Amino acid sequence: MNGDLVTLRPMDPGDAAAQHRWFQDPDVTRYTGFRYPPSLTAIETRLRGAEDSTFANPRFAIDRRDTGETIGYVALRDVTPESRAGELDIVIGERSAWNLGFGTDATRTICRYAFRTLGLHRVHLWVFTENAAAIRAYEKAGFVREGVARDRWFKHGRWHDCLLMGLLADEAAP
Amino acid sequence: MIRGEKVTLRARRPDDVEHAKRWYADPETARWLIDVGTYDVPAEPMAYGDVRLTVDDTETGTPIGTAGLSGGSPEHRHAMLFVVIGDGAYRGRGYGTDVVRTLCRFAFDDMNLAKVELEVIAGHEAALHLYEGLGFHREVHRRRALWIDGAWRDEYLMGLLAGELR
Amino acid sequence: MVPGALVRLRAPEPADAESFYEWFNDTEATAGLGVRYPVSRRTEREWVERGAVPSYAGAHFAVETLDGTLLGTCGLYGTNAPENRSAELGVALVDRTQWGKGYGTDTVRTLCRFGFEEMNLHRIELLVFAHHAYAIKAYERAGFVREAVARQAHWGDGRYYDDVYMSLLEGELR
Repeated sequence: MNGDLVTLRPMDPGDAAAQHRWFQDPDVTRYTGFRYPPSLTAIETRLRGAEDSTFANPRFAIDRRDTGETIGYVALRDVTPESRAGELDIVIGERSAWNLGFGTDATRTICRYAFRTLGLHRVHLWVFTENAAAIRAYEKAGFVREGVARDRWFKHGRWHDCLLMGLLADEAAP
Repeated sequence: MIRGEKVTLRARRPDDVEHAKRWYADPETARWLIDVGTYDVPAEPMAYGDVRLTVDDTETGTPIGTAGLSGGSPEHRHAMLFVVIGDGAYRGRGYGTDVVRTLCRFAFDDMNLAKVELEVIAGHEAALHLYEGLGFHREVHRRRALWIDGAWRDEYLMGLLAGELR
Repeated sequence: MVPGALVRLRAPEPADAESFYEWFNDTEATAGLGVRYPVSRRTEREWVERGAVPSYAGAHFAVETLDGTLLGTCGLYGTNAPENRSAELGVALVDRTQWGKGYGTDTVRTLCRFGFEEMNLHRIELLVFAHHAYAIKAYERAGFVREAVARQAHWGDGRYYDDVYMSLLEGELR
């Protein structure tokens, strides 16, 4: 599905090499929950075995529309049908694609998918409070700050506060 | 438990199977059944896609039938309602209406469905009357849809949207 | 056994399953717990079997008074990221006839003490419906702090409800 700057498409085993490269890069994983770098084999196995996007866990690769390059992935986790809520998970793995609006556009695009196609009521996410760039991007996409969970994630030798942000269906851009 | 006025809808258990055998052996029950199958006691806990219940008469605690919401689609937010009042002594006395109303309320208020659908055999006047009385609309008339007991039957697909339950 | 002032926590036993089956099917007793679908005896039996060996990844307990009357269950869950030393607290004292006697608050304190002193947790968090003022106050009495409001995150009784995230860090238990 198309955003303005990116296209979201199903992942396939061909994405393994790029994903593996991203997960080895500490600057990419700095603000994610990752700790243990996965092996290429592990990623390939997961991509081969993965079913197409399910309601509970829709997952997509992110391609730039201008060059076609795959720059990251985006997913919704733990989507519950009764409460119609899902958690957003996004990584822009290619450093060359940072700070160019791709993250914001991918976020907007998956939210549109969440509300229009899946009929969700709410999308939320957790972001490290020190990840100011991401917080700005999420706010641009319409997310509202809902509160800070103290010492929620241990990484790089210390605990990190995490900000909960939420977007409701009637707040999302059409 | 899901509580109605006179009925309790609860998870199935193995000793319900004996009651179900009796119900399905009763020709008055069987003539309006679309799919009989076996009386499953599901191993997995109930969830959005698959709610299968036994209906008890609350006052006596006796199992009197079965009901549920099957094929729940999280994308489209609808499910197929089924109900069988298997014990003839409880038919025509408002128990069926109580089950359907209670189950529909559960579907909207707890499962957050947008629509409840069901199939009913044309000619099953008591059931049609019950469903329409609660707000169900006839949506599709399927001609010669089923072969039951030596004859072709038409069936109706009916639907109830959230907010329409009377 | 983990002793408190009014309650004690022990491993769940098969004999508990029948009581749990009755109580977890009681809509009023489970109003704050987000229980939706009727439970079967089998579900309760299997839960008891799984919880029979409380461990770091899932510390499930049966809660009883000091003279052995069963009150319900509680636990510390989701500690499958031991690096974070963080767990989600759940308390389900589902015998309505025993409400209002202080067992709830003592269960929370006893469980948190166990989490910090035995499991070496750093953070205990929980989710509670925003409109459950009674429960929120009980948690605050034990030292929990409100952190975030997940707006319209839960569907029940025909509408969306807000969830409140609360947490307790080591050293804050009162």
